[in-house]
Amino acid sequence: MESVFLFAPKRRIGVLLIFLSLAFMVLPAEAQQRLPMTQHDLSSLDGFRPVAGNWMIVGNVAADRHVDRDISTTPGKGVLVNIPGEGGRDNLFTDWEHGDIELEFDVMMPKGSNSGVYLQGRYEVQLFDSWGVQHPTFADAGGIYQRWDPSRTGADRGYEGHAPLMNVSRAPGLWQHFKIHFQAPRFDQDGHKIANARMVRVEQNGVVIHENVELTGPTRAAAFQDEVAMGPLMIQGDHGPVAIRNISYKRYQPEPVRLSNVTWQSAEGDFSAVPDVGELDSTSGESSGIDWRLAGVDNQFALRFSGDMVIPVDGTYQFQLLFDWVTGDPHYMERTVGGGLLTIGGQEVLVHTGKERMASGTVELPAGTHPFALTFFKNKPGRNASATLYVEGSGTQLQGLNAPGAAPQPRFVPAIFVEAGGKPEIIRGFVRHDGVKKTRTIAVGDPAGVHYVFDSEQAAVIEAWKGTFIETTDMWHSRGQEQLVVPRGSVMAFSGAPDVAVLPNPNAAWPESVGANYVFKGYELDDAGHPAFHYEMDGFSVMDRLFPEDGGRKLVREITLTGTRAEVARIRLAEASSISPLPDGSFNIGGRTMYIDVQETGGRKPMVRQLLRGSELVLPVPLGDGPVTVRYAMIW
Amino acid sequence: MTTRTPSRSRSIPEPIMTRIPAFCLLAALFLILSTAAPAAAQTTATESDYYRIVTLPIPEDVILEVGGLDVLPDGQLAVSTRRGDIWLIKNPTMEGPARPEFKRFAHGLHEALGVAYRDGVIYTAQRSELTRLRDLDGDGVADRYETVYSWPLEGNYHEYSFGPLIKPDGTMIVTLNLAWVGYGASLSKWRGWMLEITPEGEMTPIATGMRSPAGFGFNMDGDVFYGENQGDWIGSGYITHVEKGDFVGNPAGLRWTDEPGSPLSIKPEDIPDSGRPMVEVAEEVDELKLPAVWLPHTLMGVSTSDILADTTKGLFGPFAGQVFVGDQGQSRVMRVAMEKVNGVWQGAAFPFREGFQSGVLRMVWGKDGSMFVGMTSRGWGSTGRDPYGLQRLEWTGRMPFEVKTVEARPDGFELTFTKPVDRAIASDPASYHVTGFTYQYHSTYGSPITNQETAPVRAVEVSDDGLKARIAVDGLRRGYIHELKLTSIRSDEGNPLLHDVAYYTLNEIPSGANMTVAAPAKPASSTAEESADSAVMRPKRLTEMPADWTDGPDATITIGTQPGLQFDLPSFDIKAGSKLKLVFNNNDDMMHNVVVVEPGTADDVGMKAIGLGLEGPNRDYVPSMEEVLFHTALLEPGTMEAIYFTVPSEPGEYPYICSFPGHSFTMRGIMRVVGD
Repeated sequence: MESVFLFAPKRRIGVLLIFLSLAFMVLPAEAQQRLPMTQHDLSSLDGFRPVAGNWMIVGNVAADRHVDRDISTTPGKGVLVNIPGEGGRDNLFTDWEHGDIELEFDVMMPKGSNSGVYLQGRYEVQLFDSWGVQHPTFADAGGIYQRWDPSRTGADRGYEGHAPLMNVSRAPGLWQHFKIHFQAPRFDQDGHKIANARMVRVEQNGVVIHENVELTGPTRAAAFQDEVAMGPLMIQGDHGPVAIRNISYKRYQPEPVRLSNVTWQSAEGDFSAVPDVGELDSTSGESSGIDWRLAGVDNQFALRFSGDMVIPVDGTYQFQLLFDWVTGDPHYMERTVGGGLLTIGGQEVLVHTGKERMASGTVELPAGTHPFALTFFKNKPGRNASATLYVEGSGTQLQGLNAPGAAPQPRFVPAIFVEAGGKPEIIRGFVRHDGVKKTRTIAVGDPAGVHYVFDSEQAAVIEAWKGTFIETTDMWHSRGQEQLVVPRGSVMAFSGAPDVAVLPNPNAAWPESVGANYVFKGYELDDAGHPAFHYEMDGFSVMDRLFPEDGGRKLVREITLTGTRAEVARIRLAEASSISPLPDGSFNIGGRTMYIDVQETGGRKPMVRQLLRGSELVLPVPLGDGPVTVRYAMIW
Repeated sequence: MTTRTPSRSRSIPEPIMTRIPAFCLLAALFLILSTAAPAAAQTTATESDYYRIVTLPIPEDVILEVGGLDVLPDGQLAVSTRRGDIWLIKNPTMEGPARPEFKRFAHGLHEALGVAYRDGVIYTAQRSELTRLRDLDGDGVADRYETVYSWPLEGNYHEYSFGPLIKPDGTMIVTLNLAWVGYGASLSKWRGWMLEITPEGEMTPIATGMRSPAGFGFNMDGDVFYGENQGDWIGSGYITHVEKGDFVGNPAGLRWTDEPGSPLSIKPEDIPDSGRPMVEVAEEVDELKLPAVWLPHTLMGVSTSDILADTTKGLFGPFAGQVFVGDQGQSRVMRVAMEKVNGVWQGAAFPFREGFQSGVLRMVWGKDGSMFVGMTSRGWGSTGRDPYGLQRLEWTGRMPFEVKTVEARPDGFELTFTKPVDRAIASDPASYHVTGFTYQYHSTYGSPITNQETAPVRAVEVSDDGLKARIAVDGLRRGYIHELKLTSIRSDEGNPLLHDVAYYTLNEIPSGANMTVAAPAKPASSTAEESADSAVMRPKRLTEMPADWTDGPDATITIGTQPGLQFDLPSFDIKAGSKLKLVFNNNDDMMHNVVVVEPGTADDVGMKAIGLGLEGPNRDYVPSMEEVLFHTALLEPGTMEAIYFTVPSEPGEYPYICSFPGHSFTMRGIMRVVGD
């Protein structure tokens, strides 16, 4: 699961590696290194078919979250905006067409607005201001809009809509991210459809909201009623204002890379390096693809596959070789547990050293048939001898080159979820945050659908999300090896540093961790079941409580400080790439990633502190004169 | 009630069965199947005749993986769970009869492996802290979760935290499990330690050397004992009297002895990894505290859990003042009778009651003097197959014929029985078989039984009332476990003992007058026989490829493990008569083997393995049976072994099991032998 980091993660690479290795267990094909996407140029409207004046290229947009359909622009380049009205109400079509495609973009919905992205101009992923909707339908953001049959009557006319798996929509005026993997319908030589179009996967704000949804035909309000191999991307312009930026995509032709005339050889032995072809003569035969099972044993073997690789179109091709038996476990690090070598046309393309699970190599290849050879060996006890070769082209979808049945099989255990029903639920477990396992965390789930993790070790709210609370499988299934709990929803990750501190001077750097006198005292539940955390810092005590407001649209944090010494404590409300005040008095955090609205300042005003990288929003709180209560809302 | 076939249950001897007509057989079968069977009880007493297990009905939607148990002054039962809830159960004894009522008192705790009530407040240990729970508004639900004391936590699954046990002065005791990283490791401060914490949050480290201290409790004198699980440096489970400054076995926790407050200063490297018996190493390492009572692995239990002294003053039967010890893996409760000799606690362990529904983790007394038993087996299988459970053990009021106590004498032991013995049998030295043995003390996981020697019984004196027998024994060894086997002893009513074995840990030999011994000692012979036997070649376990397999094996199969006592390979197909190399990769954190058996004999072989007794570890828990076809050695965690054999020519489904006692119920797979 992706997180939106509202701070500069300290170990970004570590985070990515961990997400990759987690994902590998279930989705090897989806979590690999990928070839870069093509950016759709938004310096002008040249990349689109001619369109009326409702569509414009601007430098930036803003939308007041309180005002229906509000949107304002500043001149410049890079942001596509639609303001339907006198200028027109046209839909927008790209000047390119696509079949299979992976598409990503950022979108900002003004309050109450409505738009949509139509793959091939026909299959709509709905864009909508669905902020705070508890039970989303197909008509909410991320929904696959229903189809429409006017010959039926009443409610039967609409059919086959698909609601998103959960609503992870942000507040109006905040940027959201979509990732759509679409597969076009397939046709035979006579033009008859032989396979339906499909949303392979749709993600909103880092959360999967559709997986393998088959589309039997164009959805309602499609630009075209027929189904075709190629069509333009359409963005709906007639329903309401919308802004879009960072459009990137990879378009794929339908032909895969194929292997043919594959023969194999194997040998058993205590290999520590990729053997030459001469060492592999004990058994041999033909194969339909890469198939580790042909070794006949599950350890101490080497296999070599060679034959022809049919490349469908000219392009850049990235090959990746995954050894499922490599864990990165330090117990096995001192010896070589496997290795592999891929050559194409006699050229070395990929070398696997056995140190990591996966190795990759990239090569330019013209269309046509190329001789290839893949040799690999395994030297580690264990039944899992699965080796998988993947290829992705600049115009060809990521695929496995394994023989049928030789792809790694996902292994799932029964999932355990905790949902917050009538009252808030609390789960204490380990939470992976910025690459580090936090062991003293308290996750709080609220029936209103907004949840957070409080780290009692650092007195910090380390993440918050909207969704269906939390998964505990890794803690509660069998022994629970990693003991992690995993948020279910779109996670906003915060810095992890303490949120309250006393600084030696107003310009001093914010501390990374609590001081020696910090003591966590526990928490108390109010009648509604919300915990109020209690802790002591150097000379003052803190009561820290969070609760939802406005039906879960806001997460309000109320901090009460009680100190006897006359000094100034500070609360860091946010750390982000940028922080700026908005006309309504709230703050724009991280370039419209979140709003913070200070409801009760405790006397002083919040200040934006500029850092070398990014900004902080800090509220000074004078102590020594009885309890001071500060309250602010995190809005996203 | 779920009852596992007890290892001591008697079946009808086969010759009798062949003589009785079919209708009688049916009737007999009916008798055996019916649970009441009062007629059967007259001849073959079973544990259930004296101690009855009553199962508490847990609501379907409550996952009661018991981590802690306590009884409140009003009789309510407090249950903390591994999923972080605390339940208060009203009417847990089901009086009325009425159903017990469950109310969730607290939630969101981090694997709460203990719960204790004191002065209106409930305490629990979470993974990272000791917590005090208060119900402020009186609605029966905790509102305030106060952190009394926090300790560091690395984040390893094996870092369990247990407690608290509350001392009379209100000080609380917790224990912190080691992490498991292929061996037991203390990755963060005070892991492997017992700590004392005041209600105000002042912490004092007490002792270290703990590996997996899941249970601890007071004896009648208020001394603290903790229970240990077999593992690295721990040859077998035991209970140890813990005092401040003790080092009780596993050196991992010694890495923190430089920390302020540590009552010890020795370091891990001060402990020799020699494999010599613990008693010998303790001669050199003053801090090393020997177990008060060993619980020989698989003979008594496999995973020591809670410790509960019998404070019922007789409400629970004849064992008032003794100590009961739970066992998670074998779903049983053991009994321990201790005495203090030369200032050191020691004593005997006895089987007591088996057949609980899941893994026994916690025991506590109900107000009526019955014993609540709380269970979980998630991640660690148990012979009781339910994933979790809550039962109550009550005395039926009948007097079992048992060895009540064993006490050390200068030249032997004195046994006390619960009922008068048959004096003629009891006066014969041949009615007593005493065998001494111990375990190796080393970083290896577990230990074989070592230095096993028969200790001949030279003389017996039976008391006039028939309740005591004093035996003179040759070859007592200080620091060793002494098995007392009493198969032929009968009560004066002619009944055998309910449990005919005891294991006495002889830390100290008392001084005093010896018995008069007339007969000369017979030479010990069994040791020689055993070593001869263990030298026999084992064609069922060939670890070298046969020389005539010139083309190598036809197939290689690797079997690993999965947590929760499972093989990772549920079945495989293999051609009849083919040459197979079978590799067992024990990637679990416990000891296992692989035993391939004849079709349909998995249960039988598994039970026979349990019945091997003292011989088990030396035989890798593989019984000598025709039904056993092939097997690996008993492998330590993280080790592997390849065996070579020719697959049977007869097609069929050949089970393979781990025959380590208790494992075979879940740890099994099928070798499917197929014809050409």
